[in-house]
Amino acid sequence: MNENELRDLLTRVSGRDLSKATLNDDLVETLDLDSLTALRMLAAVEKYGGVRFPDDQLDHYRTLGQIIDFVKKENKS
Amino acid sequence: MKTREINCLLEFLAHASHCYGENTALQHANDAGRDISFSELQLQAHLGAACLTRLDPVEGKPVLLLMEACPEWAASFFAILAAGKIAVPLVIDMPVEEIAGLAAHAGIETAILGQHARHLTPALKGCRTLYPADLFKGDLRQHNTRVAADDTAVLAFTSGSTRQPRAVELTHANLMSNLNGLRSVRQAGPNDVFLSVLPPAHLFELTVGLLAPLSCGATIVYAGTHMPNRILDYMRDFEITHTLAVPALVESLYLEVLFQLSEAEIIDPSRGRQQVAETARRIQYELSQDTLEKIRLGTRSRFGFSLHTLVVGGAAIENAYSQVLKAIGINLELGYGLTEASPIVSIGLAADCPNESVGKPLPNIDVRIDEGGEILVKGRSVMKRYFKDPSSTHDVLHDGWLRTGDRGKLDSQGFLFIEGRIKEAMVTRSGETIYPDEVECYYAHPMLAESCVAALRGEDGNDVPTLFAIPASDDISDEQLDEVFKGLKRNAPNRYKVPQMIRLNQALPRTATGKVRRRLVAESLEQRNSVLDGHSRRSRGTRDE
Repeated sequence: MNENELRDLLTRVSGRDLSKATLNDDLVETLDLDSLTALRMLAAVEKYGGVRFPDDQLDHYRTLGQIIDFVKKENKS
Repeated sequence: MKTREINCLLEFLAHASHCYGENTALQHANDAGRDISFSELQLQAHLGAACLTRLDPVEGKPVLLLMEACPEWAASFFAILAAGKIAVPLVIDMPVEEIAGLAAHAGIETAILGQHARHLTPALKGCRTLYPADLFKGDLRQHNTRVAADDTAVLAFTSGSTRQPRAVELTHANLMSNLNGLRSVRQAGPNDVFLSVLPPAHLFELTVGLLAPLSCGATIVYAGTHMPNRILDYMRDFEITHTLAVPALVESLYLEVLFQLSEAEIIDPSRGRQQVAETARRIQYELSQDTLEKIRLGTRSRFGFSLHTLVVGGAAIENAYSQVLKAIGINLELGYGLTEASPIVSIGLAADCPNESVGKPLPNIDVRIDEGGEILVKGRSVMKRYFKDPSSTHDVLHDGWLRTGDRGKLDSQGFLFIEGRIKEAMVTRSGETIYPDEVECYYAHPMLAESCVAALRGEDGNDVPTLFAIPASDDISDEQLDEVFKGLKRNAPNRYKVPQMIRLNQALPRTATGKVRRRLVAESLEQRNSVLDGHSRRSRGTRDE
């Protein structure tokens, strides 16, 4: 999953415009998300990226960069 | 299982073990090797008690339970009680310094930590720390604990403020009385399976999500996640029948209904999310039985056909959700409670309750409304006292009646309605109770002359904690103030991230002793808004969540 695919996916799930979000922006704060939407975004990444975020560290994946790095790392291993 | 005569949690556990023996009591959704039967739960409680007694034989001491929701949480809880000690459960997502403050306030010398709470060890300097692996090994030395019904079983903190920590002392009899009251109106059975998604350190989950299923031989499955996709998977895979939920979980199920409606081309998702009231209306008046059956089958294939009851506690929820969920075969159980009442006061199926009611009081609880409109509660489930706080205890307990701090009414049929809050505690959409003084310390800034946090009523009836800020100078623009707010919010612990800020241009109203009159700030704004827009009670301001 590359950056553009991730942006498209998260835009569909959240219904928000991610075009201006940088790789380091905190998505919850930048996009004004509630906690359920933030979790639904991660759930969508799990489904389409074939990964599983650790349940006790869900708070750690709040930027596009963090999510991309995680997906890359998981797919390598 | 008869629990009517039982008023001690240890006797309760022994009885459950006797009745349901090898049935599975507790399971972890993601780790099949951690199943615990009723007999094993009883055994582990006594192994743990023997260990705790070896380390410190003095009974009546508080033991901190700092663990994620899992089978070992329940075993540790009963071990503490079986050692004649007092369980002090805390949620593990609190800041380290707050846990340190609360542990000091409670006089904690021993703490039991879960694997996800290891990072909190620095909060427990000078304390003996144990892990489940330490607790449940060794010999089962006979220990002669004598626990009386009126002994304190649990210290439940309702405020995490390090300046004003507040803990409720609940006895064995308090908790058992609430459980017995609940069981007299609701019964599950050994074939039922409860999914636990909330922390058992919250009284609602402890009583309704742990003790109630154990009392009737049901199995509890710990989800161990907040991820909505996994929670729905577990509902299907473990054939869950009951779940205690906060509104976010109800919303997850609602989104599944919307997905099916969109698949059936009844709604167009590109036009935005359909509001729940509109969905309820269409289900009631527009959709055929065939279509409804398709929607029901579609949603049920996602989260299974077993789930029939969602118990929503701790937070208000829009009534239309119950109509939507009813259409797919799920009953919404509503209720009202507070930690000081162990915690359930009233309960009712949404379908049987008048709009906006929170059900009827449990049969063993008396409820009355005083002349000021405040809900008063009396019964054996009412707390013993606030821990080390006779002044606060005196403020809320009079002749056995507990002042709840909530305003309400009872109708002629005995249904209870909550109309607002008298005290300053805020109950958020996620069901958490937060006190303004816990939050305000995170929102101090040189660009703010003064500020306070108070609750505005959200559209769903829950409190929306709101920062009321007065800039240090009129020259500070709204944009600058917004940046200050966002920065403060970013640095605040998750629990204290205030969703919105409102700029005020006049000094905060204060009492003669200088205390900010927070409710007056919120009420005057709500009144002004209701005049401005006629019907909406939603405040205007910077909404940031």
